[in-house]
Amino acid sequence: MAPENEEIRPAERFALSYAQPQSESELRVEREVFGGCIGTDGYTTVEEANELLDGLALGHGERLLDLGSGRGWPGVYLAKESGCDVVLTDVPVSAPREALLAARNRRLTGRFAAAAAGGEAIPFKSQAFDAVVHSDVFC
Amino acid sequence: MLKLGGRIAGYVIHVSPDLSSRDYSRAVELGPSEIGALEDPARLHELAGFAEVRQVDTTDQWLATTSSLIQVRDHHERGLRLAEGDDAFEEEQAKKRGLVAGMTEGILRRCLVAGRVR
Repeated sequence: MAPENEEIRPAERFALSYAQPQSESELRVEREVFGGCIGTDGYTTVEEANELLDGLALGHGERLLDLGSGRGWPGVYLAKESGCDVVLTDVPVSAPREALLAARNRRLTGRFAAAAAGGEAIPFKSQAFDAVVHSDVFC
Repeated sequence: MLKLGGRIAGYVIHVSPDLSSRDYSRAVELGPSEIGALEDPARLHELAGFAEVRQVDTTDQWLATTSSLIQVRDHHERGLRLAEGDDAFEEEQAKKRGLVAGMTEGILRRCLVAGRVR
C-alpha cells in the first residue's frame, strides 16, 4: 500500500489492481456493462472488438501482438475468433499472465504467450508480427 | 515489430484538435494519465510511417460505455468498495465522471485508428 499523500504512478496502480483476481462485484459490473466476463479493464465493447477483427483481417497462423493487453481483452478474443496466435504484453506481468491462464482454462485453441513489456521496449525480433492491436493504451 | 504490409489497429483516447490553451489544459486534467498529444492519432500514425491510415470517431459509444460503467459501479458500490478499497473506488468513479465531462464538453474523444506498414 502506498504511503498517504504519495501519488501512485499508473504502473503501480495497475500492479495493485492486477495483483488479485477480480471480485464478484467487479465481474458483475463487467457482465452488466459489456454483456459478459470478457477480461476488460478498459472501454472496448464486443462490437468494437469486432471492428478490430474486421479491420485487422487476421488469419489462422498469423501472429498478433496485443500491446497493453491487461487481462487479455481484446487480444485473446481476436485470437479465438480468427485462429491467429497472440502475444499479450503489458506491465506488470501479472496482468498478461492472468490472461494467459484464462485462455488456457477456456481451452482455447491457437497459441498464446505473455510477456512483461511496455511499448518502449518490446523484446521481440524485428518483423515478428503480422498485426498489432491496442486498446486505450496510446493517448 | 511488424512485417512489411503488417497491420495495426486500436482505440485511442485523445484530446480534441484545435483547442484553446485553457480547454487543452482541462482536457489533460480530465483525461487519462499521459494524454496530451497535439496531433490527432491518424496524423501520428502517418508520421510513424504507416500507410492507408484511417480514423473513425467512436466518442458516442465511449460516452455510453463510460456512463454505463459509472451507473453500474454505483449500483454495486458496496461490493466494489470492499474489493477495491474506498479510496480506489471513489478515485475511479471521479476519474470516469471527469472523462464524461470531457466528452460532453467536446474536449476529449476516442477513435479507432488503423494503418498498414508500407
